[in-house]
Formats: sequence, C-alpha cells, structure tokens
Amino acid sequence: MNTFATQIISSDGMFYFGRLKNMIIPAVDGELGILPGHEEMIIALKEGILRYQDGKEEWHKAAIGRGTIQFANNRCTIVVDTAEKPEDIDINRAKEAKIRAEKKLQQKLSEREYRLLQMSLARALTRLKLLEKN
Amino acid sequence: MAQLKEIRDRMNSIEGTQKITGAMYMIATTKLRRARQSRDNNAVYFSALKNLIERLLRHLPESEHPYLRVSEKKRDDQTHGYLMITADKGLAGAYNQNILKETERFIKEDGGRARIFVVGETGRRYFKNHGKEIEEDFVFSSEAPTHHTGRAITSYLLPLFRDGEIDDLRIVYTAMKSAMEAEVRVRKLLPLVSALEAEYEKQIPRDIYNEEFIFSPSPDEVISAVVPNYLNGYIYSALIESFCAEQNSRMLAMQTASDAATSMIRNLRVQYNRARQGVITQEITEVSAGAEALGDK
Repeated sequence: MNTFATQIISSDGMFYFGRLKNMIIPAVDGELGILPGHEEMIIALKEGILRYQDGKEEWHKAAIGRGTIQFANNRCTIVVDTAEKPEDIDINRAKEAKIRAEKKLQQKLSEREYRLLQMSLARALTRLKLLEKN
Repeated sequence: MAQLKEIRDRMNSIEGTQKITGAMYMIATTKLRRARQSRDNNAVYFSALKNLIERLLRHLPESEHPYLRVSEKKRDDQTHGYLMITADKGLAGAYNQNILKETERFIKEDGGRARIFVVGETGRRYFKNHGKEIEEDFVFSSEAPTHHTGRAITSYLLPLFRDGEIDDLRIVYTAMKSAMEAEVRVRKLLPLVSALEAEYEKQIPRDIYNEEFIFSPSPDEVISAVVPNYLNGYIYSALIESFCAEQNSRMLAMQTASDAATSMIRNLRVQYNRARQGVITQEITEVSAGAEALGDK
C-alpha cells in the first residue's frame, strides 16, 4: 500500500487519473501533505499549487482553482473548477488578468464585485507563481 | 404575364429566405459541435460534483449552516427564487417557449412571492412584454457559457439566499435527454438539503457502512467553501447543457424551414412552368388565328 488511487477532475474533464505516492495540497488553512492510507476526510481547497508524486517518483505541479478533496478507502478524489499544467498556462493572459483585477480593485466596488475580483486575482497569481517556480 | 412575374417574385423571395435559414443551420451545426464537446468534457466534473455533495451531506453531522436552512415561514409568505436559462435569440423552435411555460407553471403552483432571474434576452423580453416583474440588474447572456458567468451568477444569488431575501432557489434549464431530444428540467439548488432529498432520496440505501470523515477546518467551513463551488459548477453545467439544447433546437428548426422552402419552391416552379406554357399556347393560338384571318382575305 505505498500508492493511492487518484482522480483529479476539473470542469473540462479528467485532469489526472492514476496512482500517486505523495501529494501536497493547498487547503484553506495552509498546505497539507497526503500519503497512502490517509485518514478519511473531506477538505476544502483554495486556489494554489498542487504538487504530486507519481509511481515513478516523479514530481508534478499544477495550478488549481477552488474545490474539494475527498479521501476514502485509499482513494483520493479532487474536484476543482480549473486545473492546469505549467505548460498549458498562458503567461500573458495571466499577467493581463492580474493587472486588470488589481486596477479594478482600486475602484469603489460592491461587496459582490470585490469578491469576484479577489477570486480572479488569486487565480492569476497562482498561475504566475507556478510559472515562476519552473 | 402578370401572373408569371408574381410567381417568379415569390420564388425569389423564398430562395432568399432559404439562403438565410441554410446559413443559420450551418452556424447552429458548428456551434452545436463545439457545445457538445464542452458538454462531454464537463460531464465527468458534473457527476463528480454531485457525488461529492451527496457524500458530504450523508456524512455531515447536524449542522445549522445557513446554506442548509429550510425556511420556517408559511408557504404563502415565502419568496421563491427562479433562475431560468433562455436563449439570447429566437428562431429556435419551441426551446424558449418550453422554458417559459414550465417556469410559469411552477410560479403558479408554488404561490407566495416570486423573484425571477432570467439568463438570456428572449426570456427577459417575454416577461417585460407580459408586464411581469423580473430582476432588472440581473443581466447575463446565455451565449457561449464560461466559468466566469457561472461564478458571477452564484455571487449574485447566494447572498440573497443567505440574507433571507429568497427562501429557496430553483433552476429551470433545458437538458439533452439524448442526442436529438431535449427536456426541461427543474431542480432545487437551495437550500441544499431539499435539493438532494429530491434527487437522491430513493437511491441511497440507508444501512450501508458509513466511513467517518474528518472535515477540515470544520464541517461548516467545508460547507461554506464547497457550496459556492457546487453552485458554480451546477450553474455552469446547466448553462452548457442549455446552450447545447438551444443550438440543437435551432438546427432542427432551420432544417425544417429549409426543407419547407425547398418544397414550396418546387410547387411554385410547377405552377410557373404551367403558366408559362399557358402563355405560349395562348400566343400561338393568337398568331395562328391572326394568320388564318389574313389568309381568308
């Protein structure tokens, strides 16, 4: 039992399907490591970088949006709205989104607009962070 | 001669219309192909999301979370929210009418006060023309749905429910039953419990082994984080599904229109030829009658 079955599902399909040795997830209150045989849990995820190690000991990274992770019976299911590999991220688009969100945040906004922008800024920052690290 | 020209004018005008319906058919086909693609991609996510919520609620300890709260008001005092997804444009067969009819039926059945949130221009126009009140500043397009639209709609509706301005929220959308058939679906989105009871109650065996889950940071925090996501995902999926159905319906409508145009033109051509022959016959008769009259002298 040195691996666990994993599905990472994003809104445009199955992002990853296979067995993993180790995984580090961005939870709402900080990062969390997951190893095979983890206790049953349901945890909320926030925008951030997901790191996972496959059966060949190789580490991968992905920028994910909000969602949840469930772990039960050594099976892990991650459901997130977006998941992207570093090579799939459009750096210019992410930069533009960041600037746009920052500019708009300067203006007077309703609470609703503020929250939407905050989320969109968080997504842009995650994408950029992932690219910087590579 | 006058009749000939009339027929030819009609044929021309029908041909012109047929060109338009033909073009719209092509556009709808292309859009449908793209919509189907994103619908297929989304299907895994949608079902995973539903399973997740189902599991979450099954394992959840007793919770007083506002998203799960069922209104205690009397039925007639409640304010019901309806999120309906219509098309931006018409000419899509009965697509829009079906949605409108179904929503009105529910509004009538539910009683109480209704707040109607309409996605798509056709629905807005319909309610305006019928003098019914809809949310004026809720303006979203149903064309080419994106995640952003889903998020924006959620961030509009969820606070209304949390603050008690609406006591429940239903979504009315069109789903593809099979590749060719569409059907109007109504689902309760909020409060969450009854949404699931409606959909799952009969399917879950109550005596199966339940794993003990930890909820981190706390069950209520997980709900607060998951529910907006769930709504985003649900609304986004419903938008995609509806867009797919809309294009499908428009494609079929345009195909029928083009076919009808073809058969009308065929009939008119027969009429035209007959009239033309009639004119020629008449001319020949006139000429030969004239010649005969001259030969007699």
